[in-house]
Amino acid sequence: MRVSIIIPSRNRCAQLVRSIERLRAIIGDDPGVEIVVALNGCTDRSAAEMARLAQAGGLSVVELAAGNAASARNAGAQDARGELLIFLDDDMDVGPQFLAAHEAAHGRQAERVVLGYAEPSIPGLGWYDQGKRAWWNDHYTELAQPAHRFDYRDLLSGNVSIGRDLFRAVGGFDEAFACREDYELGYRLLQRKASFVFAPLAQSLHRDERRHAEAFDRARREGMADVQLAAKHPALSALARRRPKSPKFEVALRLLGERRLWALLAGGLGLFEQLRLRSAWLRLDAAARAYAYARGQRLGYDGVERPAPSACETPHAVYDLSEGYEAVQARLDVDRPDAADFRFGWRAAFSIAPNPGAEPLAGRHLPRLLEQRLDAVIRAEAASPLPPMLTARAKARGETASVFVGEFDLADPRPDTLRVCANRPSRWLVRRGGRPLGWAWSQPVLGQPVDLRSVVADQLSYPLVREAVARRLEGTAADLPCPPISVVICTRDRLDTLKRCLAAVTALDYPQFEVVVVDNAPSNEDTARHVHGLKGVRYVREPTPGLDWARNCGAAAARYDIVAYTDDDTRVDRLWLRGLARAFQQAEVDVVTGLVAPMALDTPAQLYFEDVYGGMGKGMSPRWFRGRELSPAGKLWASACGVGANMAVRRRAFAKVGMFDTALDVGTATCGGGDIEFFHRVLATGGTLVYEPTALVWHEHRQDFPRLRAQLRDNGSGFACYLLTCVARGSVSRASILRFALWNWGVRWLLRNLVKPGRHDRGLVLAEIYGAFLGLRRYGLAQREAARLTQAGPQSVAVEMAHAG
Amino acid sequence: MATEISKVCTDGALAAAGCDPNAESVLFFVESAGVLVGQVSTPHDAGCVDGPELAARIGDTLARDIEVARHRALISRLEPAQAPTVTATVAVCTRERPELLAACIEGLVSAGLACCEILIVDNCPTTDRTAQVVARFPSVRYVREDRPGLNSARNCAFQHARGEVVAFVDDDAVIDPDWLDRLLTPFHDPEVLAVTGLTLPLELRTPSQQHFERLSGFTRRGFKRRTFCWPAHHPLSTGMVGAGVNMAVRRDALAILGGFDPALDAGTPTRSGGDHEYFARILRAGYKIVYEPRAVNRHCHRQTWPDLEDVFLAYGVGTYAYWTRLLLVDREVGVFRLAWHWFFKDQGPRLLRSCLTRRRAVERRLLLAELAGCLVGPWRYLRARRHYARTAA
Repeated sequence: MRVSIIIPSRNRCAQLVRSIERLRAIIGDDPGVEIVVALNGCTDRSAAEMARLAQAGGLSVVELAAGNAASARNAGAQDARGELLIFLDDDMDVGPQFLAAHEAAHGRQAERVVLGYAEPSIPGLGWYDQGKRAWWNDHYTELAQPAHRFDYRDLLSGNVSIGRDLFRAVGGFDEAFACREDYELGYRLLQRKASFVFAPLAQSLHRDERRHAEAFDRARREGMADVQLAAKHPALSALARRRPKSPKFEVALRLLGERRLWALLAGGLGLFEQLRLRSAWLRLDAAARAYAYARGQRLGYDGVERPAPSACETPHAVYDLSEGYEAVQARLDVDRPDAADFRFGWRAAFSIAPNPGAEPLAGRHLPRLLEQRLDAVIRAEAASPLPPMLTARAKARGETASVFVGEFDLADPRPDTLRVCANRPSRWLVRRGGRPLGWAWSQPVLGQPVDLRSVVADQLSYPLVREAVARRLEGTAADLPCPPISVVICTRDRLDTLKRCLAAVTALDYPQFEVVVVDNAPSNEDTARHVHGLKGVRYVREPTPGLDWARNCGAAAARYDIVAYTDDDTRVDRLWLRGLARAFQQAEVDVVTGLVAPMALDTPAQLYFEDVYGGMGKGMSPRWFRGRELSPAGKLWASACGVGANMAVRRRAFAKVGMFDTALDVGTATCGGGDIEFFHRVLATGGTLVYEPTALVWHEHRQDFPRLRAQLRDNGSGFACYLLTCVARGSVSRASILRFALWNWGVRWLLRNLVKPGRHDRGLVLAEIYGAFLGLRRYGLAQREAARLTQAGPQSVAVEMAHAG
Repeated sequence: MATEISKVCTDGALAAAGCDPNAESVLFFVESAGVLVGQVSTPHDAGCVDGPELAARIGDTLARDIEVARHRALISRLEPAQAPTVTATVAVCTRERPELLAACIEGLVSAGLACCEILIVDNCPTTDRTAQVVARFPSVRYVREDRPGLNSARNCAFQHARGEVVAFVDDDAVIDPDWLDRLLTPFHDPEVLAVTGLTLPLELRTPSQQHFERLSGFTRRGFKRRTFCWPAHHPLSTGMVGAGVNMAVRRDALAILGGFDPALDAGTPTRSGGDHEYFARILRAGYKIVYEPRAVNRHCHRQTWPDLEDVFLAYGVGTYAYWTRLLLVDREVGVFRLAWHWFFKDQGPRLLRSCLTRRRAVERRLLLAELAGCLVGPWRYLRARRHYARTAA
């Protein structure tokens, strides 16, 4: 006898007869196939009908007085003589290739379980029926996927075939389970490493005629069975996780009794359906099922507290995805591990935990695993080329109020730069090939070095992805053209900071540039003496106090077409001019601004300015501001374009829009705004301004709060005067300036920080607002002063001291 | 004034792109591993788009999507390729536009679709020019439908088509080479009754086309594949599901759900809404619709402002018309909530914003046209329905 088809049945005579007649039509007169019907406590005419059908041969009947479906199937299997056992439910109409498909799928494999396709036939159109049909279809579409990883929940005893020896070896169904006995069998089979196969041609039509009220009772029984399952197999203890009680349903249950409650709920859901209240129907249905399930769990709980099993030491197989997906797939097919770690080089992408309820991993599962975790895979791939970077060992905990600021380049992380300071919390500007990627924050751990590679991979994963894509899109850049650039530094009585600035400027890595120091209304000759002692730096004096006077003087004194400005309290990066040259490659660009990073974050005032106020940097991505595309508000927010501490202007921009406005900026009454006003003028006439973060300078922020307050006040004052200058010049319509001043600046920046400060300090915001009002008064003063000075004429022209070089 | 449309492939280094110097800006559709992942707009400088700037803009916004597409292409090599498992008929419903139709059929035939059936449904023709055009192509079938209305033409296509799936194309749309294959791929799931695709603009020459593309263009549905199914997605909100200009419907849907409503869509007083009504019907019955943005075709938007106003009017009429049908025929009371949301959350605020500036006068006119359409929508539906009930009887 080759095949035994086992059908358990209980009081469903008509359906049973129909199924058997259909089966018989398929089997024909094949002597190697028998049907075993297990009648489980039947009180209707099933026994008589079966006796009648058995007369035709090929059918045997087993009768049990009592028991559940599991015991019926076991009894049938006991009686069966075939080598292959096919379990079928009594409400199935088998398809034409049912038998052949089951037998073919087994082939010569001994320990194989073949899952058939119980196609749902649900004629109803109601919402519950739609949900049932969708559930079944999704289940079988999933099984048909080659990437599906078989699970104990895939075994449904309505249409499944197992070899008789395997069935007996594993012990058959567990008769203690009234529900989910098939899941339990599936679990034991997977523990035994049987292989599961889905045979879509082994088709049977499942006439599912359950009504909605029965669904809740079924949910209760499933809850009980799941708790039993967790009790029997500790690895599945997650199933026994209990849900909180819902008091409303409890009360209703006490009042009505269980059966009436389910009927009432079904009736209520039907009413919602009539009224087409979709979300209410969904919520009530989900809540009722969850309640029924939780009730089942409580009823099934046998009172024994079982802790979750400790994670056992299953070894994880390690796979390196950088070998290529095909290679990893081949290795998975050979190894068939229970748990695996997937990495790209050194960086872990994702790991698959051991799952005792699922089959071992195989190569065909890999596409689905990768697709579900593509984000982690992409980030790990971008992080994998990072070189190992370790700081020094932290010896003692430093104070936490100050933050160490450092930088390193991923293309060339010199160990000595990394070992500088490991005792304090640190902020690192991470760059690759000079291009800044972002900030990485690290905390020291006593006695251990900080692994900066992991820190960067964790915190800057998306910037690394973006940079990798940008690099691929740019290809191998041809050699950058390096036009000659004049560097202009305006200073006034700050020799120490100027010395630091000049030391950095003279160390710039650029083929052709000149340095001009403009000494603005100095009180002594120290600066002049120092600069004359340096080679390659020119000295110019501008006696009229005012930063814009100094800038204009520097522009006049500079020889080259591109004039780059920086302040005397900055330290320029070695590749600053290369960054500027890169942005100036585009012919349409008039002005380039760059990133301004904090040189040190030692005091709370510096930390506040950088973190809360925003600092002076405008981000790590290059941005293009084109005057002809911007709205009036966009043109007026010129402070978003950059800062005067790091800017470069092409000479033709001066010719087109004029020089810096001498009524504004530091040294005059207005205390700021000259650089912003110039940016605005460039944009208003349709010019192009580029913010290029590769052109980087380090700036020393104000170190204590009184000075910071003064600076913010000057910011407010300078911005107000800048807006008034715009009104006077009429570069943008007055209505839009008023709207900008009141709405964009007034409400969205100033007042919002006042009303909902978050981390802003109200005192400092008030200082800025006070500065804005001051600016209204100072504007008039500054205009009059500037007019007087301009009229004074040639005396204000710079006196240049010629110097060799 | 025009915006030039171009495509850029990110599998390797970008070359500096050239473009028409007269164009105002350039719209690039970014492709990675053969799949569109997004769009980027850049200005140009005298006909030349700067390579590094384009690379920076693309890298900034679309880096993750580019890498996802690249990895998906690598992953798809691990699995056996799933060929489409259904046969298809391409149906073009047309009326008195023989030149456009000729170009469309030539496009279909040259895209290698001669192997699958091409069906032309001539809707209410007054001359035989369309029949003459079709006669030039021996492999193309011609069917005539005398009841006016795009939905009636679609029903006719359903009846006469031989394939398992009917893919609809407008007569003024241009398809991409692998449009049909990609459109048919999601049909291996038997629960999927319709698949919609992505429609890109054919040109952005005039301000009205640019405005339409910016505000309510078809690319707002995104570049990622989505599956729409109740309960995850409310069946009545069909705005993001797709559009009839690029869709394929399983022929069995006709038997399960009935045909398209002849009182809706172009050619009837209700002007539009027929396709959305059918999508709502599919979703309400518990089946799935897949939005597959890799199936791309291109469509020309309306070129003048009055035409665009007419489109918005038609959209307003059609939306309220099919909501009226949902309310009367299917007793879907949820349409009131939809109308409330649409007005108070979308149309109302947009109308208020457009009243604020003089610059937005055109937007205001378009919105008012849409609202006017909304007001007359229900009556027009009732009128059309009465008319079709009488003619069908």
